[in-house]
Amino acid sequence: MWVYEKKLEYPVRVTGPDPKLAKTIITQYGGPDGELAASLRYLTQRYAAPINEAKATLTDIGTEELAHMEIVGAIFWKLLQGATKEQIMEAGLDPHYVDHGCNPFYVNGFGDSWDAKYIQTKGDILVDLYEDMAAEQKARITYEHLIQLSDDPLVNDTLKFLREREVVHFQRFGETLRITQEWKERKKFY
Amino acid sequence: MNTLNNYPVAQEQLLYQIMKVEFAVIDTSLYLNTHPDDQVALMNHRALSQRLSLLTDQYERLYGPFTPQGQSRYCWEFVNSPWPWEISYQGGMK
Repeated sequence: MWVYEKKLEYPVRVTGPDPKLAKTIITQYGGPDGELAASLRYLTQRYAAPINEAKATLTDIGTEELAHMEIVGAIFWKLLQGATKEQIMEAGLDPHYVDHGCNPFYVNGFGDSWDAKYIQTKGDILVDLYEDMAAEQKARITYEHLIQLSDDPLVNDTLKFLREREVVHFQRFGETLRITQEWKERKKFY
Repeated sequence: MNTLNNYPVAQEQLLYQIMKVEFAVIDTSLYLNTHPDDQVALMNHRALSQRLSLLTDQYERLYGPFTPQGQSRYCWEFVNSPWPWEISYQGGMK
């Protein structure tokens, strides 16, 4: 089960309204390499995990990704506070505003809705862990692209935190892969 | 249009302290999932976890619960503003 904690994992600060930046950042909310996709991918891969280290890692990283989704949602919402009609129109965020107001929604930067086809579980832990390591790398480079495009140092501070977590998760999945491979090797000699 | 809120300085500082310690707890626990026998990490995690409990108790006594499992005094304080995405975090992470 899950319990909500009324705090962010990392503070979200913005310098001022910036709908253009919000429009690019939304992809880490509901895009192909975003936090929703990451969380749902890992949480549904747990059932076929044969060893406890893998069950724990998938559960805890899947949970942390939900906290990251909350952070990205907060960045989006804050970047729209105080934005003018002209800024929203200029950013091309007017269709988003019509459908969702200032709330974040599960879309990528083009406004395409989230799709379960972004993610996979094959019911085989090794195959799934390879996908997870690739997913962390894709999320990392997405944050790097966002940091390159953003001129807001406060937003970048939060994006850098999120980027760093992708590196740590990649590391943990790599260790889980190694432990699982060792477990499979050992099994042969019983 | 919603506006962003500031917490009183003392509350914000305690919240930052909790966020920092909680992050360390998240990170060490994730590490321990793949290194369950690492005694140094276990010791660090134990100390951080104890510190998080103490700080959380202190915060919740003063400002209300972080979770619906926490206790409230005269009214149900869990609903109180601001919610995490509404705080401006003006103090920054010190």
